[in-house]
Amino acid sequence: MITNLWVLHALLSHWRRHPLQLMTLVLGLLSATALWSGVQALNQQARHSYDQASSQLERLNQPYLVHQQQFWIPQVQYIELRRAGWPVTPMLQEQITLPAGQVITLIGLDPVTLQQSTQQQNTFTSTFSLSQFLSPPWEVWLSPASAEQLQPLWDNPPIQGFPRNPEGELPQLRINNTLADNELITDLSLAQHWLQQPEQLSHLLLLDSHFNTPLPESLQAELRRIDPESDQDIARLTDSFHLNLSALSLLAFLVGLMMVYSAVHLALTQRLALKRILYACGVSQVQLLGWLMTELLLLSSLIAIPGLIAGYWIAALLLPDVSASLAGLYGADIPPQLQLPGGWWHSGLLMAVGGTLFTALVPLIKLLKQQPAVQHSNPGIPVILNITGMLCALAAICLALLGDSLLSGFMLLALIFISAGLLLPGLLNRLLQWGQHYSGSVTQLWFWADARLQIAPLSVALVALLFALSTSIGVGGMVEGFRLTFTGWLEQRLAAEVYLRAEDDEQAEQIHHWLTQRPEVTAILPSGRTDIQLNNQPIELRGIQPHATYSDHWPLLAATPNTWAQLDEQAAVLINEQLARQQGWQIGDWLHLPGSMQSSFYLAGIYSDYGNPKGQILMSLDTLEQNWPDTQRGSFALRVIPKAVDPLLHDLRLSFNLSGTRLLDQQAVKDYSLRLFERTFAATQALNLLVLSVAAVALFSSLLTLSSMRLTQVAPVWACGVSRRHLVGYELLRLLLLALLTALLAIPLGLLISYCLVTLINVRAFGWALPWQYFPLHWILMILAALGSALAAAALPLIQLARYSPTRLLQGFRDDH
Amino acid sequence: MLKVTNLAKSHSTPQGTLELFRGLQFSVHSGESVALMGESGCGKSTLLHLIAGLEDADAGQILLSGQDVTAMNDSQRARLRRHALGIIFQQLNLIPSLTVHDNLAFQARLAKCLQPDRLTQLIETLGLTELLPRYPHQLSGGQQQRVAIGRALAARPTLLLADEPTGSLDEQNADQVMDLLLTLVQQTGTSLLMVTHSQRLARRMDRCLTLHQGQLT
Amino acid sequence: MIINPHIRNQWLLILPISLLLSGCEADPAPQGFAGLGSAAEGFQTVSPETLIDYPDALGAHPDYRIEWWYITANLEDPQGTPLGIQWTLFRQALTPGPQRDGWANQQLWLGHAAITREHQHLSTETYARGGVGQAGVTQEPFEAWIDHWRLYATREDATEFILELQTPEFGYQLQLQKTGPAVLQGDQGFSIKSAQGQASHYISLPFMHASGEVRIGDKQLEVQGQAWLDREWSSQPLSPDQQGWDWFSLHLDQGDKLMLFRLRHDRGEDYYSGTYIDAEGHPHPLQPQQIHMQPTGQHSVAGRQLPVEWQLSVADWGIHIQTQALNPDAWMQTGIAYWEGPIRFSGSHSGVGYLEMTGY
Repeated sequence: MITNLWVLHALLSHWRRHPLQLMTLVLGLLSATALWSGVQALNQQARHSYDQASSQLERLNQPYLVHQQQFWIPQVQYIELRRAGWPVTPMLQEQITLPAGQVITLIGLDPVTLQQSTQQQNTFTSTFSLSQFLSPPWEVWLSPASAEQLQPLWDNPPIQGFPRNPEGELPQLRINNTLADNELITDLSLAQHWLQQPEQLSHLLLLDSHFNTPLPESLQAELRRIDPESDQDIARLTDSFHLNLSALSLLAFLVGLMMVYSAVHLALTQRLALKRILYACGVSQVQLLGWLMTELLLLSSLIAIPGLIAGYWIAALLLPDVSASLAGLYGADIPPQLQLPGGWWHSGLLMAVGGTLFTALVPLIKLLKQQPAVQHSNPGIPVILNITGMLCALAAICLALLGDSLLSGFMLLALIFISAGLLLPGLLNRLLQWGQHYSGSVTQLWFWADARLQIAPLSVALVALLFALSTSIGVGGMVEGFRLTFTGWLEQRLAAEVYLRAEDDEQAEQIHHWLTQRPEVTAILPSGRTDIQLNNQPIELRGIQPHATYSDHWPLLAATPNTWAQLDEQAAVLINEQLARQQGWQIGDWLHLPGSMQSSFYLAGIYSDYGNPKGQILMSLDTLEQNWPDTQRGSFALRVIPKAVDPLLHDLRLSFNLSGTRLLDQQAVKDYSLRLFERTFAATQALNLLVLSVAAVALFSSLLTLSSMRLTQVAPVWACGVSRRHLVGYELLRLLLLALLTALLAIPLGLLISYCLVTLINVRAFGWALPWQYFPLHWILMILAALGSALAAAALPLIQLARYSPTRLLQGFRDDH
Repeated sequence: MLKVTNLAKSHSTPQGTLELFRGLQFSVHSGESVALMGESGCGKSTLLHLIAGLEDADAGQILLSGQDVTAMNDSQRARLRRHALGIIFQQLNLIPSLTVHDNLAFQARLAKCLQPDRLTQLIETLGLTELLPRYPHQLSGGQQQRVAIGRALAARPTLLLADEPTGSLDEQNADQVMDLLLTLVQQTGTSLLMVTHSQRLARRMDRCLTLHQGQLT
Repeated sequence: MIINPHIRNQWLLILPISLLLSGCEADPAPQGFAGLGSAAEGFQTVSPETLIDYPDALGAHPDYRIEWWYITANLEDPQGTPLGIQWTLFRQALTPGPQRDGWANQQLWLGHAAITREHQHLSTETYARGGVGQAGVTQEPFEAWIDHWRLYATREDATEFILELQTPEFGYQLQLQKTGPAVLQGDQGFSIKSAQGQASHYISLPFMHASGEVRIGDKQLEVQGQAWLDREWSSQPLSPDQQGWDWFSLHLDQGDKLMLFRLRHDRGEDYYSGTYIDAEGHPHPLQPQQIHMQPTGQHSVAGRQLPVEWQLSVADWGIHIQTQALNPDAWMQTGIAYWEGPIRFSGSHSGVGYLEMTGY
């Protein structure tokens, strides 16, 4: 073993002699791990906080029973249901005010009946003792933050009442970080005692949501079943957002791995001679493979750790933007501090090590298969690449025609990327062949031919560049197009000068009255809203008072000739694009809406409604109130003479004490929306930029490593009488040509990607389509970026070449045999 | 010592199978030095690789101190090379990332038979004392080959296989290296099988074999 | 919509837990099978002096740590196809001492039920807490219930019962008619369970005629046959090193009954006990050395090997029989899992019965 460590030493010392190669490997793996784990950290943080916010959403997603007339359910009714075979578990939930004034929610439950239907385990269980939970002095389960809040009360309890139990003792505090803050969970007996509600419950949770037996006759007038609202499932709504981020981070990971591949490939190729010596000294193939794997494992795990730290840092940097967009889009609340489970570190490490071993697989096999005596020769571009690329493209076309889910949309994108990556070397070769065909002089011939020779060793870096550029063009185009569409839409949609929301009906009345007295207010447009469930989807109903403000400005995607008149006179409705796509509704359909008096509604128009995750139906306020009496009113849009806006806002604030969020002028609403928009895509754009920089580094490192091999290829040309200065010029030109061609090919690819994003991914993820727009200025920028990174990448190797002494060039002959 | 019987080997090339030799028979006795000559591409190097177990024979037997190399698996061959064989190629014999000293000790360390006294003696004989802390790329071609000889002999092999060890050196350097090689082989009683193009060098050996159209003469 | 974001956080109630418990037992390191070997300080202990009589024995004994009402029945449908049912109500006290009222009550109740046919075995369970009426036992008139599972007497002298159970997968309603005397097991109802002296109070109704309806899925079956009720209570029925038992209740064709059990020790010799009950209902307690129980066939179920075939001998009564399970897969998929199912036997005697095997 000790003596064999000399083999590892011999292998590892290679990196000491080639620090740049090591740097490539480190940079590649570091950025791959960092970007991947960073985004995963964001996703996990978000998921964790959805769980945290709701404690156990899926439990609440089960139906429950409440009393029809009162808050409390007599316990006997629970027993009656159980003895009639109902799978219900009793709950008691009420707010209590602590001596210090803070309000906390007390939840009493019965773990014995609760456990019955739950076969899944979670963290709570491992430390849970049923008999301690059920026996004096009982237990109180709470989050660490709540425990901190309550500890003083436990240290210094009042003589009687909360938190003492009926026997005057203090219950055990049990801290668990899966619980929500400001909630105490305890046994029903203690909860009933503290709330002084003997034999009373507040909810009966149905353990089996498919249990559909009608209530026993004696209880039909007493209890009411409530089915959960599916829109509480934030996680489901935000899935598409996280999928977007994941897809982008996976791309970054792959680009990073490409760098790893070039480094590992080169390192192994350069050690062919070393392999021969090791064999000669009596190292077997298996031993060599073992030590090479050990080396890779060692390196990758060493690099993964700073990579994870960088990932953490990236996540912390992006978290404010991500949580802002999630809050804006979905109303999801993410705390701004990162809290990560241990699994994140493990999976990140595994990803890094696994990725490295995976990328090293082909070079390793190549190295072992190559006979020691046979020297490595330039492999050229295998035909299999083109064939596989074609097959992938074919699969992409099939998927585009057949798939209709979000996942298939992403798979389509992945296939497009893969086929583009596979086809790029062949395409470049074809283009250069064409150039070679038309070349006039012998130097030109050499120029083109040598460029072709360079495609194979540079292909991985060029593919990385292609990916980064096309992603940038695609995603950038989508975001930019969205921004334009969105701003235009806001301009139209926000036609009223002032928007206000009253605190209650009474205040709404007062405000309305007050407004009618103001001559500068040319129109008062009240609106109302209510929510309904349609096929288990939450739908928002909006009522407006028909007015020219809407008919003149509201942007419609599809409409009957007299939409707005129909809305007013025939109780017709308009729906947003999301709902139209989701339900497959079209103009002229008759809609049946649950809970309405009217049997059906004529669909007179479809409007775009960017950023809204929910379906929305717009109708006249009268129609809404007639059919849904529980409509919430109190929102107004006001048309005001423009120069009178500020004084009016001032007076309104003064008279009604309206807070900033209840009273907004048009500009404030626009600013707010645009700000939210920017933040929504800030994370996307930041990731985009990171991918591009990784690709630039990939190109740089490939060139750097290539330059040493180039020596033998350039030396004969030099020997034939081309000056070193010219050689450098040609090398640079050749490289810029390759980068330019790649960038040019990235444009159609980027357009294809942006097309997929706006017409497939967005529609499937968010429910709205965007017009497909393109931004040639952005392309030019990308071409310049490609040339710039190629230039930067080529600089160092070329300076080296320029400085080589003639003897060094002569070595090119000696080493080449 | 080394006994080769009925050895056959062919290479597959894009133009079809190329037979290098068939029914090859020869032996090298203990302490004997044998030159192997022949035209370029006649299979001399391949023959050396076969004996070293670096390539597989198509047929035949290679007995090295009574053990059949052709019947061994990869790890057995590796062990054989480590303990019983020294191999010197025309060039690129050294581990570029290790110092001269570490290169010299490398195989002996692997074989767990490093004797510091013997190594010092070898170093002195080869005139490498001054060069010990250097790296291979800081050496001249002749110096590199001397280190290679040292590395091969430090592990006390019974048979030294050399593939044109002085082929990339100028005549003066080549003679110097060859003198050292032959001296050391004689001193240590190691058998030597050396591929060479040089009649002059071949004459300095005990015996000379020529490979011509797949046959030894 | 973006211009009007609202943060939705008004959860009505929050449920953080899913508890997966092994039956009622969540205390650390339970001893013996299902914790039955745990020490029981503060509880009433069993003693040979306690007088046991019927029907008082049907009632609850909350001062003891644990007890059960256990019914098995070997039934047949009109075509003569055999079928078995099991219905059990367990009670366990978490802490000793006076009974606390309401949800603070220390009693936990557990119901197990199963139905077994040759190629089908369905089992279910339910849990409840004492003190609130969801489960319990009343003496006069006798009723034992948990949720909508019930066993109740229709006559004051407790000679006729109704046994009811409905679950989505299966259900039954059976009339049970007591046709012979109640039988005190062991020494006048004091049944020793180990050489260290662990014991329980144990009384059985082995002579019961059962008839009624059984439902499997949507299919109703008219059935009749023989049933056996066991009442047993104790505070520490097993010694800590007893990890399980094999228990037989057998209806011999000529009308005699036989109860046998073997308690398996971690180390040392197994403990045997049993009672031979003649057709008139006179119990004849069996000494350990009179009983020979030998597994003859193993079957793999739920990832374990279980002896579903046995050779049973009580030479002094001329009994040498070979038993076979009606359905070797009669595994109870309950919090505390075990094997329980109908058997038939032949040899010197033939008949039907029930086998329970725990701790495998």
